Amino acid sequence: MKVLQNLKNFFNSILNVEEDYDFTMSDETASNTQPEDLLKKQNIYPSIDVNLDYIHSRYNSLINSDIKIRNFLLNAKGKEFKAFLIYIDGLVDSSSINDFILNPLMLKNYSNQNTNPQVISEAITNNISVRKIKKFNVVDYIYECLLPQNSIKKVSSFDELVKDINSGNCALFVDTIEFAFDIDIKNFNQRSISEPKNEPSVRGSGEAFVENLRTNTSMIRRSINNENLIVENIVIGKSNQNNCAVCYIKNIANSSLVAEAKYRLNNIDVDYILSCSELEQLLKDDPETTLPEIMSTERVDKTCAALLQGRVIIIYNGSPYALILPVTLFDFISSPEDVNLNYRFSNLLKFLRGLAFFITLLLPGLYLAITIYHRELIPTELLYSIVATRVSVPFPIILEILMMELSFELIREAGLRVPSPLGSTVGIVGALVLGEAAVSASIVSPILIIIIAVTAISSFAIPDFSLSFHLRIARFAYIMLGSLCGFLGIGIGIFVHMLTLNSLKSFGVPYLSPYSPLSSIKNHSYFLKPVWKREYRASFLKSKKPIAQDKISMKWREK
Amino acid sequence: MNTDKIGISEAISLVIIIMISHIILSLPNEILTSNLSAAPLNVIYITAIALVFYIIISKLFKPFHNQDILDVSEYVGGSILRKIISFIYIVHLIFISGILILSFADTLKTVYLNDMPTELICLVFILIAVLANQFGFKSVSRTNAILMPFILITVLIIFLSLFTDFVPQRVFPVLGKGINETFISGISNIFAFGELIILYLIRPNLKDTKQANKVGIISILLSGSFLFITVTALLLSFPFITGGEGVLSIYMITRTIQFGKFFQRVDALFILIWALTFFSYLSVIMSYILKITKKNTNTSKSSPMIYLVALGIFIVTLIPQNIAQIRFAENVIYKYSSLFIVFILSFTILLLGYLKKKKQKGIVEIKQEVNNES
Repeated sequence: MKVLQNLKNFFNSILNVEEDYDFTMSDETASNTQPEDLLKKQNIYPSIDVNLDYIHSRYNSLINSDIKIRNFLLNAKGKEFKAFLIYIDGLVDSSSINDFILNPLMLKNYSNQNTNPQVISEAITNNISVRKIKKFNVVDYIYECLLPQNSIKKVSSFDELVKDINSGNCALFVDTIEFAFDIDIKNFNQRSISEPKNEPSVRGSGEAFVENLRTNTSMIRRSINNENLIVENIVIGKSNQNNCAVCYIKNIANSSLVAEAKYRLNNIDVDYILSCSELEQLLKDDPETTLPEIMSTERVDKTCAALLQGRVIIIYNGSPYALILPVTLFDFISSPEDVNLNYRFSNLLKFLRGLAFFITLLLPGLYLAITIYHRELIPTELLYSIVATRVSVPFPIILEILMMELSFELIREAGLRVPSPLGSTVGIVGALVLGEAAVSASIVSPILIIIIAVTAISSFAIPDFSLSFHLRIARFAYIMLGSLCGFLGIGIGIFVHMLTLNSLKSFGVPYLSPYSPLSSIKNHSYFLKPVWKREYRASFLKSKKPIAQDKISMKWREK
Repeated sequence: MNTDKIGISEAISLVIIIMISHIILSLPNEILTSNLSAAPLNVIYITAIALVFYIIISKLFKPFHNQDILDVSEYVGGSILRKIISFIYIVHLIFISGILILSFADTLKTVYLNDMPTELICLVFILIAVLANQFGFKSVSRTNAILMPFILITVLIIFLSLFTDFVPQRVFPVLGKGINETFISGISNIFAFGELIILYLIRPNLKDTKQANKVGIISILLSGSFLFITVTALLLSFPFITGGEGVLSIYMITRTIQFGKFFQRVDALFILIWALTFFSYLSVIMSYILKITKKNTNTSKSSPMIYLVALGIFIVTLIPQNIAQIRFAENVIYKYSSLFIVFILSFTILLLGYLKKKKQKGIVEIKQEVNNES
């Protein structure tokens, strides 16, 4: 073991060479370390000058152009206090600062100049007047009389305050007060709500999530009119402390599921996360698998449906996607369109998608296995025509199929990366011109072009992008197995694939539920039941309300 | 918490897979050869006996709740008896699975993998079973439960697609070689229900031990039905001589299946399903060998043992020198070892355990009565 460790260290020492970067400036001119006192947790000081110095230092305000610090004298009951405001330009509503913060705080009107104490009650007995006077307290006065804002917090920790300032709040520091007023006046430009780009639906809602967390939660609130809808905020990241919202319906979602989701979120120790997809990878039960274990969606209606089924939703600030958990494999083959159509239409589409799933995964591998090992399966006439088309092709079938698969993947990747006006050109050049030329030049056989084209079209029928990716990778494995030992190889692939699927879980829910392990399929079979028969919530969600609707939902028919 | 608990459908599938893998190879052929046209009758007869036998077993298991035969043997004769029984079970399972895999690998080699050495095909199967066991018992049993309907449907397809080619006259004479051969000496064909070995071990894995009876009865009835279907299909499709060749009997049937003019040779599709069956079979057997080993060694992790078991199975596949030896091991050795282990040894231990329990219960009751009187 020691020898192995030494070998490992030896190779590590060879591979991990620290690079000396060739900057124009010398190393001495720039310091890469931050002052230690800024990294410590610090409470707000009573002295405004110390607070100001700290803020200047923490925000590097001398070089930071969008950090605004406004010093002024605060007027309260004729007394003047030194104060300052700090906010980030572009994240706040400037007119609100002027009109509803600076104006009331600096204005010297009669009421504010009046030094008479506030009388709470007065009693006159035998010409002796007894007054109950409220003692002047500058904090209460500012909070109750001078700041006409709906969302103000008193914050005593710099860390908490800085986090809020970074997200668009403004902080008011007043001399002699050991905390700051954290005022919510966020207002920044954001993308307006638009139609879902990647999950289109003919008859579904036209709203998709945007990058702003609060806009997203408000869209959910608007769709679900239920006071039990809970939206809890959890902060993730150290360098970039960003908010994510955990949403669930309290009296429907399983408490253990909610607790598990919150536990995982609270125990993510990363420097920063910028997107929902990164968060998804950190939350997965099995991070190594290529199969998706959490569903991400940009559709508000799909998210609301998931909430009402008893699932938990996670929305990350800055990402226009919501994460749905837990999910099963069959959820990834379902489309948001399904629920909007007559159940018979939906089931036809679901059947087609199921077929597409198997074609995407198996067709090239099966073609190889059959043409190399099991030719007897092909009817004689068809076999003759296949052989005839392959006569002039110099490559073995495996090479031929790998070339075509790789070409197709390249065309797909190029089509995604080029600017959108050029995308269709890449497709036409790649698929039509290249395919036609390859057949004419006898590099590939026409039958293979058909196989690859059918596989590609089938892969587009898979609604979920992540699952489609998994199928693309697995397809290559099936191609190799099919070419190595025919149906035995395909059998190996199917068996190992099924073992993998059976070993996976999404937040404790078996990935192939409700089919494996076989449990109640009541309302979560792959094929949809009519709307009036969807009486139960999925049993694997162990919802607090397993029954979704009465046995007879169309009560009007009874009358 | 025991994470290896399984439901009824998974448990039934675990039991059936053993019978199905034997059906695919030479079991129907063996029964047909020994009973000729009385083979279907004999299958019904042995199924009924197996059912009665299982009902007796389940009665004997009653005082042991969710304990398996190893726990019972420990109760009867201490840890030494448990170790002896475990050893016998392990050797039996390793030997039979090794022979069965070799037999199927040989079939594959004959059918289409002519250039691949049989040892390599066996090794592929064993490695896949090792991989499957790395995923855990639950994954293995669930995968097996998913595959089972497809496997059973395949058997039904074989039967139904040959329906038009059946020659009903082949059932005559109904009693074949005579009453004696069908019902007296024919009782030895009960070895076909060697799958009962899993029923001796499965109890601790069931989510609900009360369902053990259901699992046993359903699996025996299903296995019996499918054995009946295959034996009947074989009997009605081929003359006895062909059926008695002893090699690839079911495969020979599938070669005659055609669906219209387009699909005239679909036997390769059955090979795919059967390959899956044998992957599943070997994984299940390996899981149980590991369970027995873990129980005896008090280990929590089974990873290193998987390789040892795999090596054991692979060594067994290297023993037979020719097809005759494979058939001998598959039919004769399996027959007698199954009869001894499943129907004599395990039953005796269970009976002894039951009697001991009853005696103890009697002593406790007498003591209680004495206490009450005093």
